Amino acid sequence: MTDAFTLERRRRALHGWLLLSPALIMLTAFAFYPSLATMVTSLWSRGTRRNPAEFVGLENYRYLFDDPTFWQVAGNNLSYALVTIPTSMALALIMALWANSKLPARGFVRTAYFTPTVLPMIAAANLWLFFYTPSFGILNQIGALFGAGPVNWLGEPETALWAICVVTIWKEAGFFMIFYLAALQTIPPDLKEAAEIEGASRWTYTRRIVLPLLMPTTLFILVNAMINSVKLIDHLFILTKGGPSDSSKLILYYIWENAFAYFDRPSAAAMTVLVLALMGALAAFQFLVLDRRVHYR
Amino acid sequence: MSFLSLDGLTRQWGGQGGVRDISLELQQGAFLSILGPSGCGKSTMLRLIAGLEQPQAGRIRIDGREVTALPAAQRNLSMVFQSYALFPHLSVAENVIFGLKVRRISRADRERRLAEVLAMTGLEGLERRKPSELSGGQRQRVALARAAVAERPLCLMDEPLSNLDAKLRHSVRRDIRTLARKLALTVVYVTHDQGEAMSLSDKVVLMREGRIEQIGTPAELYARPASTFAAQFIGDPPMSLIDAAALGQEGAFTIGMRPETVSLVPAGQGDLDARIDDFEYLGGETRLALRHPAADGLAAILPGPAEFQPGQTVGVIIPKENRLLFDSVTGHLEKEPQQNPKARIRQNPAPEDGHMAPTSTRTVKEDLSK
Repeated sequence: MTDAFTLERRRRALHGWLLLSPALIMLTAFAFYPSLATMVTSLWSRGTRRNPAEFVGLENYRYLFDDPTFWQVAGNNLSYALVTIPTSMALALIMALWANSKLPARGFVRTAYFTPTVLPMIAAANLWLFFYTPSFGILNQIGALFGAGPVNWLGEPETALWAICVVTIWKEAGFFMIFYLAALQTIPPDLKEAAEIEGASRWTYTRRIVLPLLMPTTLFILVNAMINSVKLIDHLFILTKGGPSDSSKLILYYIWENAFAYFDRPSAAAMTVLVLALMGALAAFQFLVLDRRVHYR
Repeated sequence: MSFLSLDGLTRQWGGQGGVRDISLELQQGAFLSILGPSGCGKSTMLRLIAGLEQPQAGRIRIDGREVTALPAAQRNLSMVFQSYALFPHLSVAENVIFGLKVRRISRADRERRLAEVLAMTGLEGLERRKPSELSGGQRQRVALARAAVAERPLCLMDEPLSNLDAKLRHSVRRDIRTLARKLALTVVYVTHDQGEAMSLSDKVVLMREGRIEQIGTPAELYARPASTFAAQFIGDPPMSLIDAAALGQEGAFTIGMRPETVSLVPAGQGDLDARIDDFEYLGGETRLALRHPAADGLAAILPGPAEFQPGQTVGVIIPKENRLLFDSVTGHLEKEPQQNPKARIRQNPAPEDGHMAPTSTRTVKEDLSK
């Protein structure tokens, strides 16, 4: 029985699906399908013309776990994240607190801090390539003034990863500062005055009032920084290409190498799936656990 | 010895706004209102006393101590903000004891004082709520509790009621008065609402364009406004101002009178004839808005119901003893009524002990007698 009511309901349902479809089509084509395809690929062997790909189950993962380079790269990425995330966030907060106070050249300070963000990562990496150049790069020249010998920052396994970290921090801190600055400006000045009258020092005010009120922003930045610590590898192509001897290689760069330099798609797919799972778990932790402890206005 | 004294206080921004040359004295335990239209510098004055703003000239003494150069925290005062200024991420209890924690007061002491002020402000049971879960009136009470828990002798309030609706305003107003009495606080209260200032204070400072227009008890301000500005700012409805010529008086004067001193008679029999513009019956009294070409804000308040119609022309009798004479050019009060006008004033008489008489009025009178 198709009475007017059912007809109307169907019309509405159709309307709803039509509204959903653009996003649905885009997400399916560029996010859902690739993720699924990656998962499938990771379970099949590498196909050649003679040996077509066959289902191997978790073989690719086992192979990956036996690969020492994978562990080194994972370790590199962990150090990279542990250094860049807290440092860039702390720097961003300090810069924002400073740029938010009454400075004579406040506009200039803010612009200066934000400049690295505007530059493309490739351009930033080229810039830093000159800073790091052994002997006549600016860092070594400054070092020479104090009598330090030349250091090949990007060419030594001991320093390459840290040199990469510095570029990332330099690039990201300004970007995160903008979020902190915006959040700081939503805190009414009355709160500072009320705290002042109660006898709170600037430090107490910052610690007890400002930081808790910035928590939603901090969480947001943390999520972004974590994603970037996996995602941001543009500078590797310019600065080190993962070397020397894989000392500055990050996971995504290694995935790219496997997929497009060694044409080992199953390994790349297996690694991608692992990264996806890790990021998913982290996001779930942040939004389910940390979110509850954050005060939203 | 006055508790709070300001001496020649000046703070201006680019030569305008702010306050100029403010001097006043306040006794301990007194309730002082700073009253004035918006932009007259009343908030600046409060912020100067609080130490949130630095004066360009002048001195501030609190309890005999020179505090002009001291930061806000060392002035031994508390403050209630117009916007409440509650910390949004802290609960009611944490908000109230924030200052005590900062000053490292022992936990037991904190708990005791918290319980006391919560009881005093009627906030029991709300300790664990966040400010966002409270109504406007409750938030303002938390702000009051935070000021009260500090147990500081001077409390500054910056338009604490202006964000509340009319009904709440009355109940919080009562709370403020009770709290101030119970804790024997000296209060400096900024408001643009003359009703609040009149009903709460022992002493009112009327400000105009950064200067003090008049200082006095509410009754003094009501009965002897120092200028036409004061006359038209105080009272609801304010004082009616009539060109002296219309009442057959010589000279460039303006005559002021309170609406409740007026009586109405049939047209032609009074001092002047006016048309009834509007008519409000309020039960105990009837308010009439009258129109006369030589009068500004002419009104009458008659006891009980009155048999008049809008549009009707009536005669207005303005008793000679209730007329105030203002200079038409300067606006200053020239002459007080012959009789003590307080006999007909229905305002609560406030204690006058220790308060200065309105200085400007005196000087004008002395000048005249020479």
